Amino acid sequence: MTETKVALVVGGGSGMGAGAARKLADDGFEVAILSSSGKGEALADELGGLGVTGSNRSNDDLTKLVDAAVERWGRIDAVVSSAGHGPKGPVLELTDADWHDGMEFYLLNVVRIARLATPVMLEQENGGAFVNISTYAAFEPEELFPTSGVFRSGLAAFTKLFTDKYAADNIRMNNVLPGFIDSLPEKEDRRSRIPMGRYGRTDEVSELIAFLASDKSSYITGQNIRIDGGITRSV
Amino acid sequence: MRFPKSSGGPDEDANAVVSPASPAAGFIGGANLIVGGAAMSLVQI
Repeated sequence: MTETKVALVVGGGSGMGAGAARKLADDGFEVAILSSSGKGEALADELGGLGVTGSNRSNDDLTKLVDAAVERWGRIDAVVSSAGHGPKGPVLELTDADWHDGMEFYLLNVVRIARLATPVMLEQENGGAFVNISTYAAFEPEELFPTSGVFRSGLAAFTKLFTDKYAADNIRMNNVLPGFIDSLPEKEDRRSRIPMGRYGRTDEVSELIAFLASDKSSYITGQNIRIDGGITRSV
Repeated sequence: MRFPKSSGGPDEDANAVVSPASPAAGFIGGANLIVGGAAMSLVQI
């Protein structure tokens, strides 16, 4: 890598977001991490990057992250968006507030950072890449994850609209759709559904994220890529 | 199907083949990956 590459990881304090931050740092990216818990700041310190403790629901906090990265490194090459866990429950027992909360967790988390980081990428010759962590349930929704499935299928539509507009500017956006990953405790009834017979590893998801964030995926945009051990059935 | 603003290069196709073929893609199975520069109009799954 001949010039500094910079990645923002929103929701990078733990789980797949933290795994992505570590992998990108290993690959030579400077990393800036936002998390609500403070773990992101600690991880950023460990990786020699910068950390902001704040919320992905706050435009002010996200602006602080973007501004700090641009001030330190002058560019943003990649943005990884990870999310927490939104409301769950029987589909008609979720309240209006639950559904609004789900939209915050799984859709607006991407829309907000895209608004802020895209103008920076537009100023760069090489554009940039967004990688959003979605779910295998985006296109085969199931009752375990109702708000995640609903709003991440919406995220796929947003991603298509975004890429229609910005592909010519060399700004890409793709979603990774993990199945059951070892960032959560393993449950036998879930493991038994996976054709590969095992949970995926966080580092396997990180590899895919790093590929999509890199120039190696330079002609891939607007895609939803399943990394689920074969659990989804649709062709 | 639309026409993207630019054609992809063979190296871009090659990169998209090599990465899923590597051990690092050990949890990816049965997926279809379009290397199309946003040429497709449908929401791709």
